[in-house]
Amino acid sequence: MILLKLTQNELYKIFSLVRSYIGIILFTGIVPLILWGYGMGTSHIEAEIESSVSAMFFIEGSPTNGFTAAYFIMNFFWIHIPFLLALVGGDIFAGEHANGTFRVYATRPISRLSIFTSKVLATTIYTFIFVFYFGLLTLGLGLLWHGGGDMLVFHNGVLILESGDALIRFFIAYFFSFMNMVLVSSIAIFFSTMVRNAVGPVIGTMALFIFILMVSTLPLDVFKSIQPYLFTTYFSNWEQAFFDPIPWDDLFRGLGLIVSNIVMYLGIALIIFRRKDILS
Amino acid sequence: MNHIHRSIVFIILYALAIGSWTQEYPDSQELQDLMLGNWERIEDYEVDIKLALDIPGFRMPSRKIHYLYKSPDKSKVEVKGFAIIPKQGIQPFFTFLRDSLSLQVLNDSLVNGKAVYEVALEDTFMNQAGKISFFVEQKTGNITEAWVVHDSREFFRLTSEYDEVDGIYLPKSTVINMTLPPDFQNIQRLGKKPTDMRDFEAQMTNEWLDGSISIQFKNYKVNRGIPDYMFEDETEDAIQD
Repeated sequence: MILLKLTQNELYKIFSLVRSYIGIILFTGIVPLILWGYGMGTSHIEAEIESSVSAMFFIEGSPTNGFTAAYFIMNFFWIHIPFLLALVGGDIFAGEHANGTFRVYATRPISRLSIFTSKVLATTIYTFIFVFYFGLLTLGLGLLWHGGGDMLVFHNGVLILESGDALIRFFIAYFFSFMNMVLVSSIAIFFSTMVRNAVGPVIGTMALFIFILMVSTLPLDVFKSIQPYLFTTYFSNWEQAFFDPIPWDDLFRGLGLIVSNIVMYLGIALIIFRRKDILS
Repeated sequence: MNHIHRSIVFIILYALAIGSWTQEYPDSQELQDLMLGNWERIEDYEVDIKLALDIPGFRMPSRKIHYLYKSPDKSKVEVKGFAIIPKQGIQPFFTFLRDSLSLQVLNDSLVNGKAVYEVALEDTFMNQAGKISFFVEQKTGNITEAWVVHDSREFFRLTSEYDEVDGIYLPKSTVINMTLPPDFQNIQRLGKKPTDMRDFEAQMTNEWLDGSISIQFKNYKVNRGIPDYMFEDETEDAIQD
Protein backbone atom coordinates (compact mmCIF):
# COMPACT_ATOMS: atom_id res chain seq x y z
CA MET A 1 0.00 0.00 0.00
CA ILE A 2 2.79 2.37 0.96
CA LEU A 3 4.55 1.50 -2.29
CA LEU A 4 1.43 2.42 -4.24
CA LYS A 5 1.21 5.79 -2.48
CA LEU A 6 4.89 6.42 -3.02
CA THR A 7 4.58 5.55 -6.69
CA GLN A 8 1.60 7.88 -7.06
CA ASN A 9 3.64 10.57 -5.37
CA GLU A 10 6.55 9.98 -7.76
CA LEU A 11 4.22 10.06 -10.76
CA TYR A 12 2.78 13.34 -9.49
CA LYS A 13 6.31 14.74 -9.28
CA ILE A 14 7.18 13.50 -12.78
CA PHE A 15 4.08 15.00 -14.34
CA SER A 16 4.61 18.27 -12.45
CA LEU A 17 7.81 18.84 -14.41
CA VAL A 18 7.67 20.60 -17.76
CA ARG A 19 10.48 18.41 -19.11
CA SER A 20 8.19 15.37 -18.87
CA TYR A 21 5.99 16.88 -21.55
CA ILE A 22 8.75 17.92 -23.94
CA GLY A 23 8.75 14.57 -25.77
CA ILE A 24 4.97 14.34 -25.85
CA ILE A 25 4.64 17.89 -27.22
CA LEU A 26 7.47 17.30 -29.70
CA PHE A 27 5.91 14.16 -31.16
CA THR A 28 2.43 15.66 -31.14
CA GLY A 29 3.87 18.28 -33.49
CA ILE A 30 6.25 16.23 -35.60
CA VAL A 31 4.25 13.04 -36.21
CA PRO A 32 1.41 14.82 -38.07
CA LEU A 33 4.08 16.65 -40.08
CA ILE A 34 5.74 13.36 -41.07
CA LEU A 35 2.38 11.78 -41.86
CA TRP A 36 1.55 14.77 -44.06
CA GLY A 37 4.89 14.49 -45.86
CA TYR A 38 4.42 10.76 -46.21
CA GLY A 39 1.02 11.34 -47.77
CA MET A 40 2.64 13.54 -50.42
CA GLY A 41 3.92 10.38 -52.03
CA THR A 42 6.05 7.30 -51.74
CA SER A 43 6.71 7.04 -55.45
CA HIS A 44 10.44 6.57 -54.82
CA ILE A 45 9.69 3.35 -52.90
CA GLU A 46 7.51 2.02 -55.71
CA ALA A 47 10.13 3.06 -58.30
CA GLU A 48 12.86 1.29 -56.34
CA ILE A 49 10.87 -1.95 -56.24
CA GLU A 50 9.76 -1.65 -59.85
CA SER A 51 13.30 -1.14 -61.11
CA SER A 52 14.26 -4.48 -59.54
CA VAL A 53 11.46 -6.49 -61.11
CA SER A 54 10.44 -4.54 -64.20
CA ALA A 55 11.36 -7.25 -66.72
CA MET A 56 8.68 -9.57 -65.47
CA PHE A 57 6.37 -7.65 -63.15
CA PHE A 58 4.73 -4.31 -62.68
CA ILE A 59 3.57 -2.51 -59.56
CA GLU A 60 -0.09 -1.80 -59.02
CA GLY A 61 -1.52 0.27 -56.18
CA SER A 62 0.40 2.13 -53.54
CA PRO A 63 2.03 1.08 -50.27
CA THR A 64 1.06 4.44 -48.74
CA ASN A 65 -1.06 3.70 -45.70
CA GLY A 66 -1.10 4.13 -41.94
CA PHE A 67 0.79 0.90 -41.20
CA THR A 68 3.71 1.63 -43.51
CA ALA A 69 3.90 5.22 -42.24
CA ALA A 70 3.94 4.08 -38.59
CA TYR A 71 6.65 1.55 -39.42
CA PHE A 72 8.93 4.24 -40.86
CA ILE A 73 8.30 6.58 -37.91
CA MET A 74 9.29 3.80 -35.49
CA ASN A 75 12.90 4.55 -36.37
CA PHE A 76 12.66 7.33 -33.76
CA PHE A 77 13.28 4.55 -31.23
CA TRP A 78 16.97 4.70 -32.13
CA ILE A 79 18.10 8.06 -30.70
CA HIS A 80 15.28 10.56 -30.27
CA ILE A 81 13.05 8.73 -27.84
CA PRO A 82 15.95 7.49 -25.66
CA PHE A 83 17.08 11.10 -25.25
CA LEU A 84 13.61 12.30 -24.27
CA LEU A 85 13.22 9.48 -21.76
CA ALA A 86 16.66 10.19 -20.28
CA LEU A 87 15.43 13.71 -19.47
CA VAL A 88 12.95 12.22 -17.01
CA GLY A 89 14.90 9.19 -15.77
CA GLY A 90 17.98 11.34 -15.21
CA ASP A 91 16.06 13.71 -12.98
CA ILE A 92 14.32 11.16 -10.80
CA PHE A 93 17.05 10.99 -8.11
CA ALA A 94 19.37 13.82 -9.06
CA GLY A 95 16.49 16.28 -9.19
CA GLU A 96 15.64 15.57 -5.54
CA HIS A 97 19.29 16.11 -4.63
CA ALA A 98 19.41 19.35 -6.56
CA ASN A 99 16.23 20.64 -4.92
CA GLY A 100 17.35 19.49 -1.47
CA THR A 101 14.19 17.48 -0.86
CA PHE A 102 15.90 14.12 -0.37
CA ARG A 103 17.02 14.86 3.19
CA VAL A 104 13.45 15.40 4.30
CA TYR A 105 12.14 12.53 2.20
CA ALA A 106 14.73 10.03 3.49
CA THR A 107 14.20 10.89 7.15
CA ARG A 108 10.61 9.62 7.00
CA PRO A 109 10.11 6.00 8.18
CA ILE A 110 10.20 4.60 4.67
CA SER A 111 12.93 2.25 3.58
CA ARG A 112 15.29 3.37 0.87
CA LEU A 113 14.31 0.21 -1.03
CA SER A 114 10.69 1.46 -1.08
CA ILE A 115 11.76 4.91 -2.25
CA PHE A 116 13.96 3.37 -4.93
CA THR A 117 11.26 0.90 -6.07
CA SER A 118 8.61 3.62 -6.26
CA LYS A 119 10.90 5.82 -8.37
CA VAL A 120 11.73 2.93 -10.69
CA LEU A 121 8.03 2.02 -11.01
CA ALA A 122 7.05 5.62 -11.68
CA THR A 123 9.77 5.99 -14.33
CA THR A 124 8.69 2.70 -15.93
CA ILE A 125 5.04 3.86 -15.96
CA TYR A 126 6.12 7.14 -17.54
CA THR A 127 8.12 5.18 -20.13
CA PHE A 128 5.08 3.03 -20.85
CA ILE A 129 2.82 6.09 -21.20
CA PHE A 130 5.35 7.70 -23.53
CA VAL A 131 5.70 4.62 -25.77
CA PHE A 132 1.92 4.03 -25.68
CA TYR A 133 1.26 7.64 -26.68
CA PHE A 134 3.86 7.44 -29.43
CA GLY A 135 2.28 4.24 -30.74
CA LEU A 136 -1.23 5.65 -30.50
CA LEU A 137 -0.17 8.80 -32.27
CA THR A 138 1.78 7.17 -35.11
CA LEU A 139 -0.43 4.14 -35.69
CA GLY A 140 -3.76 5.65 -34.68
CA LEU A 141 -3.31 8.94 -36.49
CA GLY A 142 -1.59 7.18 -39.39
CA LEU A 143 -4.53 4.82 -39.87
CA LEU A 144 -7.05 7.66 -39.53
CA TRP A 145 -5.13 9.81 -42.00
CA HIS A 146 -3.93 7.29 -44.57
CA GLY A 147 -6.24 4.36 -43.90
CA GLY A 148 -5.34 0.72 -43.43
CA GLY A 149 -4.25 -1.84 -45.97
CA ASP A 150 -1.33 -4.10 -46.59
CA MET A 151 1.95 -3.16 -45.04
CA LEU A 152 5.14 -2.99 -47.07
CA VAL A 153 8.32 -4.08 -45.30
CA PHE A 154 11.80 -4.61 -46.67
CA HIS A 155 13.11 -7.87 -45.27
CA ASN A 156 15.26 -10.00 -47.55
CA GLY A 157 13.51 -8.24 -50.39
CA VAL A 158 9.93 -7.10 -50.37
CA LEU A 159 7.47 -8.44 -47.82
CA ILE A 160 3.80 -7.53 -47.84
CA LEU A 161 1.85 -8.17 -44.64
CA GLU A 162 -1.93 -8.25 -44.52
CA SER A 163 -3.50 -5.56 -42.33
CA GLY A 164 -4.69 -7.95 -39.57
CA ASP A 165 -1.27 -9.51 -39.38
CA ALA A 166 0.42 -6.10 -39.44
CA LEU A 167 -1.57 -4.86 -36.43
CA ILE A 168 -0.53 -7.86 -34.29
CA ARG A 169 3.08 -7.33 -35.31
CA PHE A 170 2.88 -3.67 -34.27
CA PHE A 171 1.84 -4.75 -30.77
CA ILE A 172 4.82 -7.12 -30.64
CA ALA A 173 7.16 -4.40 -31.97
CA TYR A 174 5.93 -1.83 -29.44
CA PHE A 175 6.37 -4.32 -26.59
CA PHE A 176 10.01 -4.93 -27.51
CA SER A 177 10.57 -1.20 -28.06
CA PHE A 178 9.07 -0.53 -24.63
CA MET A 179 11.51 -2.97 -23.02
CA ASN A 180 14.40 -1.23 -24.82
CA MET A 181 13.19 2.12 -23.54
CA VAL A 182 12.90 0.75 -20.00
CA LEU A 183 16.60 -0.06 -20.30
CA VAL A 184 17.34 3.54 -21.34
CA SER A 185 15.36 4.78 -18.33
CA SER A 186 17.25 2.34 -16.10
CA ILE A 187 20.60 3.69 -17.30
CA ALA A 188 19.35 7.22 -16.63
CA ILE A 189 18.27 6.15 -13.12
CA PHE A 190 21.68 4.55 -12.61
CA PHE A 191 23.47 7.81 -13.45
CA SER A 192 20.87 9.78 -11.51
CA THR A 193 21.74 7.98 -8.24
CA MET A 194 25.39 9.00 -8.62
CA VAL A 195 25.14 12.77 -9.02
CA ARG A 196 23.34 15.79 -7.65
CA ASN A 197 22.57 17.50 -10.92
CA ALA A 198 20.03 16.23 -13.47
CA VAL A 199 22.03 17.40 -16.49
CA GLY A 200 24.85 14.91 -15.80
CA PRO A 201 22.66 11.77 -15.94
CA VAL A 202 21.04 12.88 -19.21
CA ILE A 203 24.43 13.52 -20.83
CA GLY A 204 25.89 10.38 -19.23
CA THR A 205 23.03 8.20 -20.48
CA MET A 206 23.26 9.50 -24.02
CA ALA A 207 27.08 9.35 -24.04
CA LEU A 208 27.05 5.73 -22.88
CA PHE A 209 24.23 4.89 -25.25
CA ILE A 210 25.91 6.47 -28.29
CA PHE A 211 29.29 4.94 -27.42
CA ILE A 212 27.86 1.42 -27.15
CA LEU A 213 25.70 2.01 -30.24
CA MET A 214 28.79 2.94 -32.25
CA VAL A 215 30.69 -0.13 -31.12
CA SER A 216 27.74 -2.39 -31.87
CA THR A 217 27.20 -1.03 -35.39
CA LEU A 218 30.76 -0.52 -36.63
CA PRO A 219 31.54 -3.27 -39.16
CA LEU A 220 35.03 -3.89 -37.78
CA ASP A 221 36.24 -7.38 -37.07
CA VAL A 222 37.75 -6.34 -33.76
CA PHE A 223 34.28 -5.50 -32.38
CA LYS A 224 32.49 -8.51 -33.87
CA SER A 225 33.11 -10.79 -30.90
CA ILE A 226 31.71 -8.37 -28.33
CA GLN A 227 28.75 -7.07 -30.33
CA PRO A 228 26.39 -9.92 -29.29
CA TYR A 229 26.85 -8.82 -25.64
CA LEU A 230 26.04 -5.14 -26.19
CA PHE A 231 22.47 -4.08 -25.57
CA THR A 232 22.41 -1.68 -28.51
CA THR A 233 22.89 -4.66 -30.84
CA TYR A 234 19.30 -5.56 -29.95
CA PHE A 235 17.85 -2.07 -30.11
CA SER A 236 16.51 -2.75 -33.58
CA ASN A 237 14.90 -6.02 -32.48
CA TRP A 238 11.45 -4.47 -32.90
CA GLU A 239 12.08 -4.64 -36.65
CA GLN A 240 12.17 -8.42 -36.37
CA ALA A 241 8.50 -8.38 -35.39
CA PHE A 242 7.86 -7.56 -39.05
CA PHE A 243 9.98 -10.39 -40.44
CA ASP A 244 8.43 -13.47 -41.96
CA PRO A 245 8.61 -15.77 -40.08
CA ILE A 246 9.17 -13.85 -36.85
CA PRO A 247 12.56 -15.00 -35.45
CA TRP A 248 11.27 -15.59 -31.93
CA ASP A 249 14.55 -17.16 -30.75
CA ASP A 250 16.50 -14.03 -31.73
CA LEU A 251 13.85 -11.76 -30.25
CA PHE A 252 13.86 -13.51 -26.87
CA ARG A 253 17.65 -13.81 -26.85
CA GLY A 254 17.79 -10.03 -27.30
CA LEU A 255 15.07 -9.52 -24.70
CA GLY A 256 17.07 -11.66 -22.26
CA LEU A 257 20.09 -9.42 -22.69
CA ILE A 258 17.98 -6.26 -22.38
CA VAL A 259 16.32 -7.53 -19.17
CA SER A 260 19.67 -8.61 -17.70
CA ASN A 261 21.04 -5.10 -18.42
CA ILE A 262 17.99 -3.53 -16.75
CA VAL A 263 18.55 -5.71 -13.68
CA MET A 264 22.28 -4.87 -13.69
CA TYR A 265 21.89 -1.08 -13.95
CA LEU A 266 19.02 -0.95 -11.44
CA GLY A 267 20.88 -3.32 -9.10
CA ILE A 268 23.98 -1.10 -9.10
CA ALA A 269 21.77 1.99 -8.79
CA LEU A 270 20.05 0.45 -5.73
CA ILE A 271 23.39 -0.34 -4.08
CA ILE A 272 24.59 3.22 -4.73
CA PHE A 273 21.37 4.73 -3.42
CA ARG A 274 21.28 2.60 -0.25
CA ARG A 275 24.87 3.45 0.61
CA LYS A 276 24.55 7.10 -0.25
CA ASP A 277 25.10 9.71 2.44
CA ILE A 278 22.33 12.22 1.98
CA LEU A 279 23.67 15.33 3.62
CA SER A 280 21.80 18.08 1.86
CA MET B 1 2.04 -45.68 -123.33
CA ASN B 2 0.43 -47.54 -120.48
CA HIS B 3 3.66 -47.10 -118.62
CA ILE B 4 3.48 -43.29 -119.11
CA HIS B 5 -0.18 -43.22 -117.96
CA ARG B 6 0.67 -45.21 -114.88
CA SER B 7 3.53 -42.81 -114.11
CA ILE B 8 1.28 -39.76 -114.51
CA VAL B 9 -1.39 -41.28 -112.26
CA PHE B 10 1.29 -42.14 -109.68
CA ILE B 11 2.70 -38.60 -109.76
CA ILE B 12 -0.79 -37.09 -109.36
CA LEU B 13 -1.62 -39.42 -106.48
CA TYR B 14 1.74 -38.70 -104.86
CA ALA B 15 1.23 -34.95 -105.19
CA LEU B 16 -2.27 -35.23 -103.69
CA ALA B 17 -0.95 -37.35 -100.82
CA ILE B 18 1.81 -34.83 -100.07
CA GLY B 19 -0.70 -32.02 -100.36
CA SER B 20 -3.14 -33.63 -97.99
CA TRP B 21 -0.30 -34.45 -95.55
CA THR B 22 1.01 -30.87 -95.47
CA GLN B 23 -2.53 -29.54 -94.97
CA GLU B 24 -2.46 -31.01 -91.45
CA TYR B 25 0.06 -28.30 -90.53
CA PRO B 26 -1.44 -24.86 -91.02
CA ASP B 27 0.82 -22.04 -92.10
CA SER B 28 1.66 -19.10 -89.88
CA GLN B 29 -1.36 -17.03 -90.91
CA GLU B 30 -3.78 -19.93 -90.50
CA LEU B 31 -2.35 -20.64 -87.09
CA GLN B 32 -2.78 -17.01 -86.06
CA ASP B 33 -6.32 -17.05 -87.33
CA LEU B 34 -6.99 -20.19 -85.31
CA MET B 35 -5.57 -18.71 -82.11
CA LEU B 36 -6.92 -15.21 -82.45
CA GLY B 37 -10.32 -16.17 -83.83
CA ASN B 38 -11.48 -16.82 -80.31
CA TRP B 39 -9.89 -13.61 -78.93
CA GLU B 40 -11.25 -11.39 -81.67
CA ARG B 41 -14.80 -12.21 -80.65
CA ILE B 42 -14.16 -10.35 -77.42
CA GLU B 43 -15.23 -6.71 -77.31
CA ASP B 44 -14.56 -6.43 -73.61
CA TYR B 45 -14.41 -8.54 -70.49
CA GLU B 46 -13.78 -8.30 -66.79
CA VAL B 47 -12.72 -11.03 -64.40
CA ASP B 48 -11.83 -11.62 -60.75
CA ILE B 49 -8.32 -12.99 -60.35
CA LYS B 50 -6.64 -14.66 -57.42
CA LEU B 51 -2.90 -14.25 -57.73
CA ALA B 52 -0.29 -16.13 -55.71
CA LEU B 53 3.44 -15.54 -56.16
CA ASP B 54 6.32 -17.64 -54.97
CA ILE B 55 9.23 -15.48 -56.08
CA PRO B 56 12.59 -15.22 -54.26
CA GLY B 57 12.93 -11.88 -52.52
CA PHE B 58 9.27 -11.12 -52.83
CA ARG B 59 6.63 -12.37 -50.39
CA MET B 60 3.04 -11.34 -50.78
CA PRO B 61 -0.12 -13.04 -49.52
CA SER B 62 -2.38 -14.19 -52.34
CA ARG B 63 -4.09 -11.17 -53.88
CA LYS B 64 -7.55 -10.67 -55.26
CA ILE B 65 -7.46 -8.38 -58.25
CA HIS B 66 -10.02 -7.29 -60.78
CA TYR B 67 -8.98 -7.11 -64.41
CA LEU B 68 -10.79 -5.27 -67.19
CA TYR B 69 -10.05 -5.41 -70.90
CA LYS B 70 -11.59 -3.57 -73.81
CA SER B 71 -10.71 -4.18 -77.43
CA PRO B 72 -8.38 -3.36 -79.00
CA ASP B 73 -5.84 -2.27 -76.38
CA LYS B 74 -7.39 -0.95 -73.18
CA SER B 75 -6.75 -2.83 -69.99
CA LYS B 76 -6.87 -2.07 -66.31
CA VAL B 77 -5.87 -3.84 -63.13
CA GLU B 78 -7.74 -2.95 -59.95
CA VAL B 79 -6.20 -4.04 -56.68
CA LYS B 80 -6.92 -3.12 -53.08
CA GLY B 81 -3.67 -1.89 -51.57
CA PHE B 82 -0.42 -2.81 -53.20
CA ALA B 83 0.61 -5.72 -55.41
CA ILE B 84 3.25 -6.91 -57.83
CA ILE B 85 1.54 -8.24 -60.93
CA PRO B 86 3.18 -10.50 -63.54
CA LYS B 87 3.29 -9.09 -67.06
CA GLN B 88 2.50 -12.54 -68.40
CA GLY B 89 -0.46 -14.69 -67.53
CA ILE B 90 -3.13 -12.11 -66.81
CA GLN B 91 -4.24 -11.99 -70.44
CA PRO B 92 -4.39 -15.29 -72.38
CA PHE B 93 -0.93 -16.16 -73.73
CA PHE B 94 -1.98 -15.99 -77.38
CA THR B 95 -2.34 -12.21 -77.14
CA PHE B 96 1.45 -12.09 -76.81
CA LEU B 97 1.72 -13.74 -80.22
CA ARG B 98 -0.68 -11.41 -81.97
CA ASP B 99 2.03 -9.76 -84.04
CA SER B 100 4.29 -12.76 -84.52
CA LEU B 101 4.82 -13.44 -88.22
CA SER B 102 6.99 -16.51 -88.19
CA LEU B 103 5.01 -19.15 -86.36
CA GLN B 104 6.11 -22.58 -87.40
CA VAL B 105 4.33 -25.85 -86.66
CA LEU B 106 6.92 -28.42 -85.65
CA ASN B 107 4.73 -31.35 -84.83
CA ASP B 108 1.29 -32.49 -83.87
CA SER B 109 0.49 -34.75 -80.97
CA LEU B 110 -1.98 -35.57 -78.22
CA VAL B 111 -1.64 -33.77 -74.90
CA ASN B 112 -4.08 -34.74 -72.17
CA GLY B 113 -6.19 -36.47 -74.81
CA LYS B 114 -6.46 -33.35 -76.96
CA ALA B 115 -4.94 -32.92 -80.40
CA VAL B 116 -2.42 -30.09 -80.39
CA TYR B 117 0.10 -28.47 -82.69
CA GLU B 118 3.56 -27.87 -81.33
CA VAL B 119 4.55 -24.43 -82.57
CA ALA B 120 7.81 -22.49 -82.24
CA LEU B 121 9.19 -19.06 -83.00
CA GLU B 122 12.24 -17.00 -82.17
CA ASP B 123 11.49 -13.77 -80.34
CA THR B 124 12.46 -11.57 -77.42
CA PHE B 125 10.67 -12.60 -74.29
CA MET B 126 11.06 -10.80 -70.95
CA ASN B 127 14.07 -8.94 -72.31
CA GLN B 128 15.77 -12.21 -73.35
CA ALA B 129 16.11 -13.48 -76.89
CA GLY B 130 14.86 -17.03 -76.95
CA LYS B 131 12.94 -19.80 -78.62
CA ILE B 132 9.28 -19.75 -77.66
CA SER B 133 7.46 -23.06 -78.05
CA PHE B 134 3.85 -23.83 -77.29
CA PHE B 135 1.03 -26.30 -77.73
CA VAL B 136 -2.05 -25.02 -79.57
CA GLU B 137 -5.25 -27.01 -79.31
CA GLN B 138 -6.28 -27.87 -82.85
CA LYS B 139 -9.98 -27.55 -82.10
CA THR B 140 -10.11 -24.32 -80.10
CA GLY B 141 -6.81 -22.53 -80.78
CA ASN B 142 -6.13 -22.32 -77.04
CA ILE B 143 -2.51 -22.35 -75.90
CA THR B 144 -2.38 -24.95 -73.18
CA GLU B 145 1.34 -24.88 -72.55
CA ALA B 146 4.19 -22.56 -73.52
CA TRP B 147 7.86 -22.61 -72.69
CA VAL B 148 10.79 -20.38 -73.52
CA VAL B 149 14.42 -21.43 -73.88
CA HIS B 150 17.35 -19.03 -73.83
CA ASP B 151 20.95 -20.29 -74.16
CA SER B 152 19.66 -23.87 -73.82
CA ARG B 153 18.09 -22.95 -70.47
CA GLU B 154 14.32 -23.11 -70.08
CA PHE B 155 13.41 -20.05 -68.02
CA PHE B 156 9.66 -19.83 -68.46
CA ARG B 157 6.87 -22.41 -68.61
CA LEU B 158 3.21 -21.52 -68.63
CA THR B 159 0.33 -23.98 -68.32
CA SER B 160 -3.26 -22.86 -68.79
CA GLU B 161 -6.65 -24.49 -68.48
CA TYR B 162 -9.62 -22.94 -70.23
CA ASP B 163 -13.33 -22.57 -69.69
CA GLU B 164 -15.91 -21.71 -72.29
CA VAL B 165 -17.64 -18.45 -71.34
CA ASP B 166 -20.52 -17.39 -73.59
CA GLY B 167 -19.01 -19.46 -76.40
CA ILE B 168 -15.53 -17.94 -75.96
CA TYR B 169 -12.59 -19.78 -74.44
CA LEU B 170 -10.83 -17.93 -71.62
CA PRO B 171 -8.31 -19.15 -69.04
CA LYS B 172 -9.69 -20.57 -65.81
CA SER B 173 -6.25 -21.13 -64.30
CA THR B 174 -2.68 -20.43 -65.29
CA VAL B 175 0.50 -21.60 -63.62
CA ILE B 176 3.85 -20.09 -64.53
CA ASN B 177 7.15 -21.61 -63.48
CA MET B 178 10.08 -19.28 -64.00
CA THR B 179 13.82 -19.34 -63.60
CA LEU B 180 14.95 -15.86 -62.74
CA PRO B 181 18.38 -14.48 -63.66
CA PRO B 182 20.95 -14.03 -60.85
CA ASP B 183 20.56 -10.23 -60.84
CA PHE B 184 17.01 -10.73 -59.56
CA GLN B 185 18.71 -11.17 -56.17
CA ASN B 186 19.16 -7.40 -56.21
CA ILE B 187 15.62 -7.01 -54.92
CA GLN B 188 16.97 -8.29 -51.62
CA ARG B 189 19.20 -5.22 -51.36
CA LEU B 190 16.14 -3.07 -50.74
CA GLY B 191 16.00 -1.79 -47.18
CA LYS B 192 19.30 -3.39 -46.18
CA LYS B 193 21.41 -1.36 -43.77
CA PRO B 194 24.86 -0.33 -45.03
CA THR B 195 26.35 -2.49 -42.26
CA ASP B 196 24.57 -5.58 -43.63
CA MET B 197 25.65 -5.03 -47.23
CA ARG B 198 29.04 -6.69 -46.87
CA ASP B 199 27.47 -9.97 -45.69
CA PHE B 200 24.85 -9.70 -48.43
CA GLU B 201 27.48 -9.19 -51.14
CA ALA B 202 29.33 -12.26 -49.86
CA GLN B 203 26.15 -14.34 -50.17
CA MET B 204 25.47 -13.30 -53.77
CA THR B 205 25.77 -16.20 -56.21
CA ASN B 206 25.47 -16.64 -59.96
CA GLU B 207 22.72 -19.19 -59.59
CA TRP B 208 19.41 -18.73 -61.33
CA LEU B 209 16.43 -18.60 -59.00
CA ASP B 210 13.25 -20.65 -59.22
CA GLY B 211 9.90 -18.95 -58.89
CA SER B 212 6.28 -19.68 -59.64
CA ILE B 213 3.04 -17.79 -60.17
CA SER B 214 -0.46 -19.18 -59.82
CA ILE B 215 -3.39 -17.28 -61.33
CA GLN B 216 -7.01 -18.35 -60.83
CA PHE B 217 -9.76 -16.66 -62.85
CA LYS B 218 -13.46 -16.53 -62.01
CA ASN B 219 -16.62 -14.50 -62.61
CA TYR B 220 -15.92 -13.64 -66.23
CA LYS B 221 -18.25 -11.06 -67.71
CA VAL B 222 -17.73 -11.03 -71.46
CA ASN B 223 -19.06 -8.50 -73.97
CA ARG B 224 -21.26 -6.66 -71.47
CA GLY B 225 -20.13 -3.23 -72.66
CA ILE B 226 -17.51 -1.71 -70.34
CA PRO B 227 -17.59 2.08 -70.79
CA ASP B 228 -14.35 3.85 -71.83
CA TYR B 229 -14.24 6.04 -68.75
CA MET B 230 -13.47 2.94 -66.68
CA PHE B 231 -9.99 2.98 -68.23
CA GLU B 232 -9.33 6.68 -67.99
CA ASP B 233 -7.24 6.67 -64.81
CA GLU B 234 -5.01 3.88 -66.09
CA THR B 235 -1.69 5.58 -66.80
CA GLU B 236 -0.03 2.85 -68.79
CA ASP B 237 -0.89 -0.53 -70.17
CA ALA B 238 1.51 -2.67 -68.21
CA ILE B 239 0.19 -6.05 -69.29
CA GLN B 240 2.55 -7.48 -71.88
CA ASP B 241 0.80 -8.44 -75.06
